[in-house]
Amino acid sequence: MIRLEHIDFAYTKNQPILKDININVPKGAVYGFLGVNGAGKSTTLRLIMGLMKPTNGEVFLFDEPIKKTYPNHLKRVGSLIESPPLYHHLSARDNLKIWCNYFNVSKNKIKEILHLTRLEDVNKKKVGNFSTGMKQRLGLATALLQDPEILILDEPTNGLDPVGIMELRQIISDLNTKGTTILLSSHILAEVEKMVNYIGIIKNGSIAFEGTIESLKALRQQNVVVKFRVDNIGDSVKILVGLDIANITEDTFQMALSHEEELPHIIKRLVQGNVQIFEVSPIGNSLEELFINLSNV
Amino acid sequence: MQLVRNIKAELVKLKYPPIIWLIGFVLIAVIAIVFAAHFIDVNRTAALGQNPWDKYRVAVTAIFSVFIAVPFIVLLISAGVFLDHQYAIWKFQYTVPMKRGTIFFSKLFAILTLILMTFAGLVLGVILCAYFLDLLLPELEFRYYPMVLINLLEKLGHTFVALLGIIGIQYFLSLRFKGFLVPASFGVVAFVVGLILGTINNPISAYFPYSYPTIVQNHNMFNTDQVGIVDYGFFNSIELYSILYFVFFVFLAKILEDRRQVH
Repeated sequence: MIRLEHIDFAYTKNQPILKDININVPKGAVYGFLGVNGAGKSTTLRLIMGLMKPTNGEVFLFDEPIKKTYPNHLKRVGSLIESPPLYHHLSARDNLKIWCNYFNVSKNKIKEILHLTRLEDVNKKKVGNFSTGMKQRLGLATALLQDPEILILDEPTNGLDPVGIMELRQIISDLNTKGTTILLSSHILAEVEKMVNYIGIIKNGSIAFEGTIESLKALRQQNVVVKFRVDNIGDSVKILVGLDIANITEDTFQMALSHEEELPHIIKRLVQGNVQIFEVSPIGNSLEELFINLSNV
Repeated sequence: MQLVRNIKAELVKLKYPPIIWLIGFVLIAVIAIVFAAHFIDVNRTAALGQNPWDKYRVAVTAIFSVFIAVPFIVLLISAGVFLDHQYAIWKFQYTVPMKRGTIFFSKLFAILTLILMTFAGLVLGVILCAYFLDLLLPELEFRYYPMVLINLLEKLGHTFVALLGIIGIQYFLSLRFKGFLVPASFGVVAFVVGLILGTINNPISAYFPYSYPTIVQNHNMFNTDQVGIVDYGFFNSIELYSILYFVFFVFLAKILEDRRQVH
């Protein structure tokens, strides 16, 4: 559905922002585009939406280069890039009226969209008096007015409280169930981990990882470091001689494993050697820590 | 039809309290000044056997064109376009399925529509004001003479054409600068300079669009300009310059807008 091929982008010749970006968002996916602030997420999304032109490379939507299909392909794409496009002096309904006119969508759609984004009760309230979460939902409502097949959301969880994030997650899940392909960016993996099934991680303007959430989890299972707390350090070191043991203290040591499946065998050898194990804990091995390792500058 | 829908959308957006206040202030200011001029000095304004609408028309167009119209245009366009900058609308606006040019002209036509609506409000307001004056001061005799609406519309038409150059420049500036202050300040300073140049009939004013409403007004009222205005049917040379300025700056703004990288 969305494909970026060898995208480069720079504001000035000496300062490349994006370098050889390749992304592939399959149909029906919820794709989390992750990276630290300044990694190039928003720039990439702006290039996809045609707000900026790449220095090199090609952006494809619906398997066609956007420079050929512009602006007609935008009828099938909804987006929310950074802040929601809302006039604060107008009500939610008036804001949607504006975009209904631009999208050539019937005004009857407003009621349906307000219901979907749970804003029907405040539709006459001025947007300036809305909470961040309500503004974000109204922004999402504008992006959904033309029933897009692709929805692109830039940091949609920004400024939302946990309830707001849960509501957004539910809306995204509902949309995806109906067949909408969703690309959303974030700098916090934990916030989007439960929403997405594909992940792309951008680091310093280049893609550091792309794949399913399962493949990211599989990556976590490799190169595991585990900390042991035992009753007898001397015996433990003798039993595990030849293996990668480090940071030995009075009652603890750390061990690097090439895969987490090695762990039961290690524990078995220690137990058979009459070593009592009080604690086994992974170090630096949460999905979040893996994300930080992959995305950090 | 899409253009009409876009203009409707833009007019919804322009329901912005400062803009509504500005239009209200312009209408009230012109009507109040005209009313006060007639009410206070009725002996000078009422002349036996003369159509009072002639003087009234001149007073309305002179007050509006020379003192009110330019700051009104400057503030209206600066505030109207500023709304889109203030709420970062461009990032979404340019993802609607239409060419940037269509959006660009929709916004411009919406502003022109609002200006013309203000002109219509002004015409209605000053006519009602004249009849109200007549109720208070029957010696003004507005009701005994034909109003000849077309003459008032013609005068305001000249003012509108003389304003086109300023509209083009202000639209260009408002799109290029994200803040309200730069286009508005430039416009206000240019208005003062233009007013001075136009009032003293300095030849330079023929090339300074912010003088055009004043010198066109002087030309049409007194035919006393030293600017060398040439009449070509309905339009005169200054009005043609105004149209050229408008076309040039709108064209320039459109090219830059088409190329703009929306950050």
